[in-house]
Amino acid sequence: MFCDLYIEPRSPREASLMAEILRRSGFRCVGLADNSYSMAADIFVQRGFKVLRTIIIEASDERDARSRVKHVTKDAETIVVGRTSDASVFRFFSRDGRVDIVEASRRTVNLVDRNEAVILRKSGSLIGLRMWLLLKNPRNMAWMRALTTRIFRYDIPFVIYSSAKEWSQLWHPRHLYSLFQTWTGYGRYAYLGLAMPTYGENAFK
Amino acid sequence: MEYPQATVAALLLIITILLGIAAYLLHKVRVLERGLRETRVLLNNIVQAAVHAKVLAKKAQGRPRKRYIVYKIISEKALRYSDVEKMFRTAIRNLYGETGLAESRVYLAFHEPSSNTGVVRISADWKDRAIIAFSLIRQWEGRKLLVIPIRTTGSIKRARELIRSLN
Repeated sequence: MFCDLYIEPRSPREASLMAEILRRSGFRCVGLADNSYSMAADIFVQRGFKVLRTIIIEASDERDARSRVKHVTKDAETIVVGRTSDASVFRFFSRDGRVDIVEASRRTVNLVDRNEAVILRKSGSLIGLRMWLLLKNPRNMAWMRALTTRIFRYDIPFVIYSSAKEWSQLWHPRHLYSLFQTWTGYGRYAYLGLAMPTYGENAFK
Repeated sequence: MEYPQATVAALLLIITILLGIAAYLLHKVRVLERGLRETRVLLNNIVQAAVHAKVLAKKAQGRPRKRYIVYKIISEKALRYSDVEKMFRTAIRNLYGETGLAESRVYLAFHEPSSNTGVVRISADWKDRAIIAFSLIRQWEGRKLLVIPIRTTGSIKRARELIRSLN
């Protein structure tokens, strides 16, 4: 059973199509974007999905990041994703326990090292791989491959999500298997990134 | 003139010894000849084996293993064989270039427009790379689509059976 922790369907029809494709691909859990949650949550629940709310926090400086994280209302089924290209903000997101997933980018790949692994393990956060970037520009494959190599070298917990707005932007687990097989030689590790998060009081930790 | 007996005996002895040496030398020459013959045969065998190995290696190079990827395309409408073939070839060319396209030996074995399922043949080493290229195809001629690889098999027969069971 797989989980796509961030999708953003634009309309109920799109949500319905995405739910059908995800269900046939073996997904049973989705994270809906905050602005799509009210519109699409029922559609996914009716098809037997576990639905989580995913909040994206984008910041370019540390002060802004602190303020945004402070104002997030979090519950057991909310996931907070920190997205930035700034090194200090990246480290802040990694240290802060309120941020569940820290999204890496081309500029922050080199920050994913042994120290980052220690910080992430301490805070209980994960590194996020956003597959939509590969569709946007296949040239992103170079740094995404480097990031994956670092994740395995330093044994960093990670998660993969599609960040899809349409059904044609979804990723099948077999696609990811081939990607990881080519990048790292261990295709099955892609399934670790698609594993369902634990539930209960603390949905992610 | 009479020769003394001792001299005759000595002469006979010398002749005998010389004959013995000659026989020994002849034996040795024959042994050497046999050895040379055997060595020649051995060398010949080695050369033949090397040539055979080279031929086998070249044969192996010339005929790479193939894999058949059974796929399904989720699309807004049915796609024709020519569209799908062009789509797959373009995807591999865009990602890996002309050399990649040549090395992958991609070939669309068959495609059913009614169900948008089919089988694409690919070189065994290129299986995963081809799936990556196909995964990046998200639209064709303005229409959204998604290529899903269902199974990879080693024979076209099993691939066709799978297509039949899917349809």
